[in-house]
Amino acid sequence: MSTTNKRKEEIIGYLVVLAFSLLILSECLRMQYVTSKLLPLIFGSFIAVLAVIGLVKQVTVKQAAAGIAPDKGETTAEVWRKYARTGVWIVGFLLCIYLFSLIVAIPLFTFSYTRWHGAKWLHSALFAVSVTLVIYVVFILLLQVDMSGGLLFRILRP
Amino acid sequence: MMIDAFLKGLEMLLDPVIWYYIVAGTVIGLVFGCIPGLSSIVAMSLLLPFVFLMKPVYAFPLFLAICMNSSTGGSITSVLLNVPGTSVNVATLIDGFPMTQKGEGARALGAALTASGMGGFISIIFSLIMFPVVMPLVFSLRSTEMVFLIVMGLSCVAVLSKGSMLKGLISGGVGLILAFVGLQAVTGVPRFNFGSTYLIEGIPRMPLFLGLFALPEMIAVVAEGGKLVRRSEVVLSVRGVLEGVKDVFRHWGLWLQSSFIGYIIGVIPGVGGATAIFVAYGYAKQFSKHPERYGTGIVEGVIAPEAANNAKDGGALLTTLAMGIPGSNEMVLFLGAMMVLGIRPGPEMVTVRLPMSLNLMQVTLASALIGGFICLLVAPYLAKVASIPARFLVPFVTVVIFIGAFSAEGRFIDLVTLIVFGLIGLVMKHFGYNRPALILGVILGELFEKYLFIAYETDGLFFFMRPISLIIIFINVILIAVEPIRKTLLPGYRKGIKKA
Repeated sequence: MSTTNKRKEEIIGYLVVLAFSLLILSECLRMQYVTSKLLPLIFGSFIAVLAVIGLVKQVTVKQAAAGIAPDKGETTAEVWRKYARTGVWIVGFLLCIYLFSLIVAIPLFTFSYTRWHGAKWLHSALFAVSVTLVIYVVFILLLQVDMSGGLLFRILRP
Repeated sequence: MMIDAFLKGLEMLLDPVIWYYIVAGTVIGLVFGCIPGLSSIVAMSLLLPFVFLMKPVYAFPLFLAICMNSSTGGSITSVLLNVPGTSVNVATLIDGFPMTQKGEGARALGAALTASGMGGFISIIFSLIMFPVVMPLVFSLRSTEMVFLIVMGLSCVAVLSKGSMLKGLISGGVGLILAFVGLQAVTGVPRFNFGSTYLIEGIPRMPLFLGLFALPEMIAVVAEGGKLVRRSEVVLSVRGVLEGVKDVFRHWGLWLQSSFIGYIIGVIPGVGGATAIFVAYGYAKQFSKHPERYGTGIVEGVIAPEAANNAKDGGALLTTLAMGIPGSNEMVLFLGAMMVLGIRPGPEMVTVRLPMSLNLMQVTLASALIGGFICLLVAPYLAKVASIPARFLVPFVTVVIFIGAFSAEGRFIDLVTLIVFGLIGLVMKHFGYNRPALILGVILGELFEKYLFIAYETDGLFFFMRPISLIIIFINVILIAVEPIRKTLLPGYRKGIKKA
């Protein structure tokens, strides 16, 4: 990936930090008590100043001095595509929990993930069952954590 | 009198039943410590209703053994999976997991468990020896000193910032802001909750820790080829663990220094274990001959926080017994158990009930050793976790992470928080922002604000002009300035850094 793109990324990063600090500062100004807003104002301003320094550094100083890491040969888009692929699994797991509850989502997730990544049917099934069993015994039976409550179960409950 | 009481305490240990409770407590503590989301607090709360069925001589060893060993158990998942078992294991991630990635997981585990177990052991020795010296010191501490002790912890943001100092400071600052989310302790006014009732109590800590550290690591494992261990050659487990044990003895000075820091901070009520681990790590790095290697996976970076995290429990026990002020959250429950059984902590515990106090310290000492020993026995097998194929390890760890985030409060929304911080953690990892610095800000920000305002209310604008405060400020300045001074004054040191 080109240096320019990396620099752009760094600049975007600092802009996000700056936006965050400005949001904090604007929230502080709406607060009534000095004791409530004093420290957030100080630290918010501190972050804003640091973000501006970072931005100025990126715009004015050469690559090495600006702290840009050397190129690892993979484009950011490629790396993020890989991250996104795993992220889809995690978000899918979250959706399953929302719909079916945690204790139902665990075997679904573990089984489908291992199968998708090349494990044999039997291995996937054994793995899913054993993980669910351990979680069931430790958390539901012993610790009595309520893992029910999926949306579908709530709808179907009379 | 002290020797008499000590021997009487030892006599109580001759009862074989007490050992059953010590071993049971040790195992419970280790198991609850290594499962994220569970902790010694959960275990002790579950047992509290049954305390009145037990004799004090059995109930207290059980509780203390749980308390003493949960942080030891927590170091296992921190080192192997980058998943902090408990909040006091966060600093262990910085060097522990990189060691696992380099194929030195067994060595890191051996060092962590030995440092942790022996840290607990030595803190009790400190308690026994320094009892008459430490107590007057603790009585003289006020909020002002707390402020500067916490600042000492916060100054480690600069120490933790490897690579870009600017990004380290930004991360620490963002952490501090996140700590202010929710009801303010001083005024009771909600801040930065944007109208949400969920954020009134602040950002839940466990989803935040797991999201920032564990989730991005799992995503990265898959993205980077599906291997936890990046090096092809993995050090054999038993040999690796033994190497880690030897490392602690090789760096005994560092271990002793970190244990002492943990003990002193543990003695002071309200400062918290997180301060202890980060201050110990910060000191280790600042006074190291090769600070630039910290964060890349070196054994000293594991020994320092692990020695401190268990040593603080020994210190906290002393304050709880002698003053009736719980030095940590676990000690609140221990105090509860004492009350249930009709034993009032306070000055009586160091006079009339001195044998009992000393017996409890001996019990803690024994449980720390047993816990360390059990862990070292199973460590070679645990270290093999790192070589499990990613297609099984990733879903298993993901499930553990989700359970960890969910089980504390049992709310679905905590899982959404987990994902949000997972994304933030991934972005921070990718762009080189410092996640431990952010965590440090989150953990200490709230305490800092609380004590700052109390100090201001009680001592006015010049609250820092007390002798003990000035001493702590002086130590703070040394901690921050030692690195720049060495860089300026020692040209050889500068060359060493360049070579590294």
